[in-house]
Amino acid sequence: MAAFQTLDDAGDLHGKRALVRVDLNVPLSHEKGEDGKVTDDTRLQATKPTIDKLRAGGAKGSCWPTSTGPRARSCRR
Amino acid sequence: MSLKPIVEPLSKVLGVPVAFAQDCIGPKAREAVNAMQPGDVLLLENVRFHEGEEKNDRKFADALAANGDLYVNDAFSAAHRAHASTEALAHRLPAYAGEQMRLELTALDRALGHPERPVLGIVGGSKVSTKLDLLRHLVTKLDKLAIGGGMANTFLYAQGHDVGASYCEKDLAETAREVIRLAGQNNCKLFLPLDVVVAEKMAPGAPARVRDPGSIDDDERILDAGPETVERLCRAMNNSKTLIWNGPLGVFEIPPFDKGTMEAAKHAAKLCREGKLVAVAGGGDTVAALNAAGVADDFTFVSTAGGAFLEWMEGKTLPGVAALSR
Repeated sequence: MAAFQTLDDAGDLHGKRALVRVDLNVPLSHEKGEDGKVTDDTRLQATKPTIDKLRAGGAKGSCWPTSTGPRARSCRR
Repeated sequence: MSLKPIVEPLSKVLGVPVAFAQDCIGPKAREAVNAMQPGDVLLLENVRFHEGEEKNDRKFADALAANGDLYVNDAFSAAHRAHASTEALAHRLPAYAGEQMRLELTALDRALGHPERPVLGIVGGSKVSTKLDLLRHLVTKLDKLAIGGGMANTFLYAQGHDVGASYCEKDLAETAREVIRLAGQNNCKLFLPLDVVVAEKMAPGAPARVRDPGSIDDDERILDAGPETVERLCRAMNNSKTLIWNGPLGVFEIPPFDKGTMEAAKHAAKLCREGKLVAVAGGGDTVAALNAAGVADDFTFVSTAGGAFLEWMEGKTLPGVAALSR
């Protein structure tokens, strides 16, 4: 496996602006007249370890996810 | 789709307030980022709202980078695409793998990169055509490979068996024979079905019979692996240290044709619990099958990444992972 750096290698995080690419492609229920509700939060849970680590280090965590809609791309192929 | 409806649920999961910016670049993003204190979390709007994202556009990546001191990629599921937020940005800021990405890469390395041997693969699913690269690559890496699901029908047909009314890609018979040859050349033991479960209809509770591959009637369809096949597969697991699994062995959504997949999944889970096997599985159908068997948590690692998992199993370089490499 090619070597890669993790947050353990990032040094002092305090006050740093961290841009985090996450996958929040979660299934949403569609009820009329209101925003969809998340029906499976597995992918939200999966972001927690990284965000927790950044917060513990005092970083400012900006996540920017992509989503193509309710599970539109996640399960095909 | 806007990410706004995700703010509340994300905030609940993280246990902190999550702010939201209506754009991931430009003045709206800048103002929101500038307002942050250490420990704050901000959700920026969907990067796919900008054309530059999927084009891996340099100027768009510059605009994203303007609001960061460091970059963390925690989305293995998007790593097979060279997009601005997965590739170009990694060259503009100090780049790190997030915790989920680290977990995924470590598990995949244990399964196929540097596995404890012998390593056994299971490839199922309906189509050979979508998994050609996968099969060709796996036979060079694995000690044993079991082929199941609809794609096994094509292999049986290629070996001269009549598959009746089964799903079968007859035009790929020569390709199947090539995979069999490649496996032989690479000392990868190939397991094709010894017996199969057939029915005339693919319907819940349809009357099912066990057949040898050579004795399938014209109106019968192969819908699951047979008991002898599953038993041999479980024995192969017993004699392996590592298992990598992609694709179900039968039509697991429709009982009784779920039996082969369920039994194999439960056996792998048992060996994992006993610490005798490292088992890694991935792909949408596979995850659904393991969940149906109630064993997903017992597996060493289950990847929900779909396309990225498959391309990684095919031995391809994932741009989003390569960009993090140092």
